[in-house]
Amino acid sequence: MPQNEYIEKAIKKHGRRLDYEERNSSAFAQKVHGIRAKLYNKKRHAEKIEMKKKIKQHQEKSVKQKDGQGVPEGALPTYLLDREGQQRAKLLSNMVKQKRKEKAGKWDVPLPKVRGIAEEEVFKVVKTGKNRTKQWKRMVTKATFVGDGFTRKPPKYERFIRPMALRYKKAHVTHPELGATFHLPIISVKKNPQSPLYTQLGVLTKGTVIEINVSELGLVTTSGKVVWGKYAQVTNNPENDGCVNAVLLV
Amino acid sequence: MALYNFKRIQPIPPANDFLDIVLSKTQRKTPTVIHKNYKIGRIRQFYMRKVKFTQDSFEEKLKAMLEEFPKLDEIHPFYSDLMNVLYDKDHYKLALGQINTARHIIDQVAKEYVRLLKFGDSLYRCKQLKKAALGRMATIMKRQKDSLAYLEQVRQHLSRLPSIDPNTRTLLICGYPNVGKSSFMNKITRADVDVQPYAFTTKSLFVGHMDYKYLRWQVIDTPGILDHPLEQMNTIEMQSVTALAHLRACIMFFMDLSEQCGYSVKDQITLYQNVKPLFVNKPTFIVINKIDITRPEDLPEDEQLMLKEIAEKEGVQIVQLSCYTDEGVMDVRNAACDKLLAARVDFKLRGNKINEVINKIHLAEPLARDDIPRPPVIPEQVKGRPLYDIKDPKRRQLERDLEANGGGPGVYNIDLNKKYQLKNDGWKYDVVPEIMNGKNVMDFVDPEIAEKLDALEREEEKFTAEGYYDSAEEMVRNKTHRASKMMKNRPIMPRTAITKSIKEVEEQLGQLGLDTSAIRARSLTRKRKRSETDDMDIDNSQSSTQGSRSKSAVRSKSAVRDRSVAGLADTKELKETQKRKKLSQRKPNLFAKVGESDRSIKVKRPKHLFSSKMSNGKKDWR
Repeated sequence: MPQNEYIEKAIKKHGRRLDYEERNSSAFAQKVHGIRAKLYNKKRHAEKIEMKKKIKQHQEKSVKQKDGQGVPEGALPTYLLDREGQQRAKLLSNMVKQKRKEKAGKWDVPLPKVRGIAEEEVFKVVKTGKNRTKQWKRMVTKATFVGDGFTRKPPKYERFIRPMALRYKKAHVTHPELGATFHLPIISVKKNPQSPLYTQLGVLTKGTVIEINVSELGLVTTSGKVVWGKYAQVTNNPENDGCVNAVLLV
Repeated sequence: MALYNFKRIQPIPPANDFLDIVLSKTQRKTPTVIHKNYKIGRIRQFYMRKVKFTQDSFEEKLKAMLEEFPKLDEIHPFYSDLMNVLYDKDHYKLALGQINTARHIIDQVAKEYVRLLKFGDSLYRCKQLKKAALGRMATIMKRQKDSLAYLEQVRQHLSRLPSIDPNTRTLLICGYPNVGKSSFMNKITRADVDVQPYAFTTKSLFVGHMDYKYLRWQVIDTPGILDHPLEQMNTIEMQSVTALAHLRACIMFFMDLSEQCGYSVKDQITLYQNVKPLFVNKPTFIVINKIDITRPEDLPEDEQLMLKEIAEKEGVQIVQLSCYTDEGVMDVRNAACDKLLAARVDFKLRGNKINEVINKIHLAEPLARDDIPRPPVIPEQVKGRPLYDIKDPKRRQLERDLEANGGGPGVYNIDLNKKYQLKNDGWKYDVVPEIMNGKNVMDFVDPEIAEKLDALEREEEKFTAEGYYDSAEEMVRNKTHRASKMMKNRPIMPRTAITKSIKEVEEQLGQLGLDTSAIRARSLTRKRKRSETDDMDIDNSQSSTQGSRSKSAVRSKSAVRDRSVAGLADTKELKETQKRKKLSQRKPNLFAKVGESDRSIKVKRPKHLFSSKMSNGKKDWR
């Protein structure tokens, strides 16, 4: 009875047929079609590139190369002189950046510009009344933040409905300097650049500035106090992604 | 055997392939095209289906995986321990646990995104949400990369494990490395275990099978163990320890007195002393191998003494063999098998399961009621017969001998009639015709016909003796009886055809000379009575004979029972039936039906359905 490492044993004893590797891959390549073929071809393509690069590397080892760094001593031709300008160019661009920064003003945020969103897109009209003729109710179809203390108005008079499914309490906040992302609770919506109404309703769209509870991070001010609220800007469309991503404003 | 067969676990693809499989399945099995005219509800449905379908396929695959892998708590302790040794129990459980968690998280993600999709107001948004959902599921699976790879390795290894049945008759071979365990195994079974002249050639358990006493025996070859504490043992040694600990087998501890294996006899004896606790309650043998080189007698005194001590103290049998010269191999095997068999039977007898069997088997031995000997009865005729001896020329002639004399098989025809038991031996070779006088003889054969006839005759005699046939009345009765039977299949004259008026009857009876006044009187009285009871209430129940009589007479002419109330107990039931009746009539009334058989259609083309100016074929719903 074959048991334990019988496959290895058989290979050791009899070996593999000579075209084993080739056979295995080509049989599959000939048979496959449809989406699997697409996937396979993509993989194969990447493999081939890798292979070619490797072959080239090996070849480069054996071929003699020119010494790239050797700069001829003595007098230089004019066309080589401006190679030294490199350093200065960088400095200039830095200065330009600095100036721009100053110009930018108070709200220096990662996403300075946002796409305008029409009210029709945000609010869905809800028909009410016995004959469904009254159209003063609105349902918010974007992601919203609703504070803990929120109490609904009597449903009959509630103008804006914020569905439970679209409410978010936490956001994925990236600390730009640490380069790490944390899942932190939202405290409030500071400003929605689209409209003050949205700010009031707590609508979360791309570019909205929200206040984040950072007490988990253990950030400390210069005076030694623990910081627990910080601003962050939403960087994605939460209604499309099903989550809120934000960048911490530091 | 099939109980512990892990070959059936499906292969587990690596994480990337897993994703390809699931996602391409979604692509293949769900609709892929959204047309321009689709309403937003349909688009939502379209994407929700994709999300749910993907989750379902993930769920199905992961669940199958979790179910197929053996649960360590449920399998035989031998296997669970072996798996612990080989794959590490914690790691194994963790991997399965992670798969289970991933399954739950995927489930939740799908739920969340389906909920979000309900608020999708554009194709773009729905599509983005679907993409995000599948992406998150994919991420979750990608994180399981290592678990999947580990489980695949475990699966491969499990499927290649020998299928050991922990409960069957087993010989377990153990000892130091290189003492000839595998050689012995190869000698007694057909398992082709690798034998090499270096230690730890056998790295895992091997199983072979053999037959002895018409039973199937399992032989397990274990890797060698070294003499050090349990904590320091490596995986290879732990496998043999597991087998020793959990299998109720006959232990064969192999020793090499020639010390060719590289371990001294003293070392081997100490090893035996150390692993001895694993052998309790199991039949144990110390097998001395390689006796073609060194026999126990050749050993120095002190070592011989040590061996003898073990044998005497613990009741362990010491046997010898040489795999090289085949000396004693079969003897050792047979001794081990016999001892194990005895031990197993003994164990079963001591267990409580035996009662079930013993209750079924009952050997009744009657008590001797007296001292009279009752030996088996052998007829004298048989006693005197000489014993059958094939060499004796004057022996009894058997059918076989007759055949040989009569020309051998194929020529000799066996005489079947010879041993017929008939009243007269002369009948043996009589030919019985099949058809006689145009009738099948077998139709008339009745083995008890003589008795039946006899019985009938006796009955007849009895009846005549009792005077049963004397009374003519009986005869007549019998006759009429027969007559009525005969009438059964004949046309019968209807009663109306034989009606006669009173006058005719009077005439005929008068001719016969009988008195007809009674008949006439009856008709007369009836007439008078009727005139009397003309105004009588029908429902009035009088108990007098006269009243009832008259009532019946009247009723036969005029009183018709109201069938609609027949069989109803009270007014309550009556009301109920009336209600139902009305209800059932409602629909036919509505369509002005005459009755339930009325199938007529009153208006063929109702005005209201054909009154518009629209021509034919303008609307598909009319």
